[in-house]
Amino acid sequence: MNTLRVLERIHGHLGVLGAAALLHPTILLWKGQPLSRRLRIAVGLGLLLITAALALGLFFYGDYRALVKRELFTENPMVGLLFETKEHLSYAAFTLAWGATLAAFLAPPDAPGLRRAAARVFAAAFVCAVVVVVLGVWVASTRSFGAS
Amino acid sequence: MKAPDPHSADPASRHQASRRGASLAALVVGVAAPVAYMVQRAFEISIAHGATPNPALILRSAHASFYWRAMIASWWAGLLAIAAWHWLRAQDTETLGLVLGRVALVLAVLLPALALWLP
Repeated sequence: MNTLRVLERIHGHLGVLGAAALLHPTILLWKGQPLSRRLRIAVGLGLLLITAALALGLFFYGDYRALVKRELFTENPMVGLLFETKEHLSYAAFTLAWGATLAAFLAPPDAPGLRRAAARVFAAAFVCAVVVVVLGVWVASTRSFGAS
Repeated sequence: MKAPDPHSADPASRHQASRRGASLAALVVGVAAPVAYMVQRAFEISIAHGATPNPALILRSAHASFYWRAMIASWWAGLLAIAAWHWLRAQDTETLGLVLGRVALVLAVLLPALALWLP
């Protein structure tokens, strides 16, 4: 198994974990309770995983374009276009998660409404991330690094 | 609930108002960035008269359009966040935040649908 294939697998796993980790702050912040230490970790973890997944994806995109993308479009043009869709939604999930995390951290303890709003933005990030994960699995199962 | 006065003589009140404003600005970033991104994508599709993207062109492009789109969307989101912090921090940030939260829930449905429609 070559390095790029390993990185692709790590990227996928980080994406799945990131999507799951976004659900946690959605539930915990839904009623607007102040951030405890554990809640801060939960909120930060989702953002960390999503950011790592996106950064890794961008890191090996050049190799992906050179080695995989052409074959992906040749094999199934519709799945090739779904890869583009995945990119759009990953940016959406990333920015929604950043906005929600910063809002949750910055809201003062006596502002439950702002944390409730952050929970709803986390929910939107979660939905986008889940769609990204589903599309990512579909694309990777069609064509990936090292696949014959 | 009326937010603390950002121009108050009391430093604690100013700090509270500043934090509320910053939190609201972060929510604006979260909501505005993906909307700005999708507006750009819709504009690109409208220039192409709704044509399905050409795989040959996608393969030849060096991904620059994605980076530009993301950067421009982030720039707009940042600008709107600064405007929100400047003008809205003295308002009822709780209610404004909840409005943004509801907008985000609509986006949770709208963004995947638009992204699938405009690949």
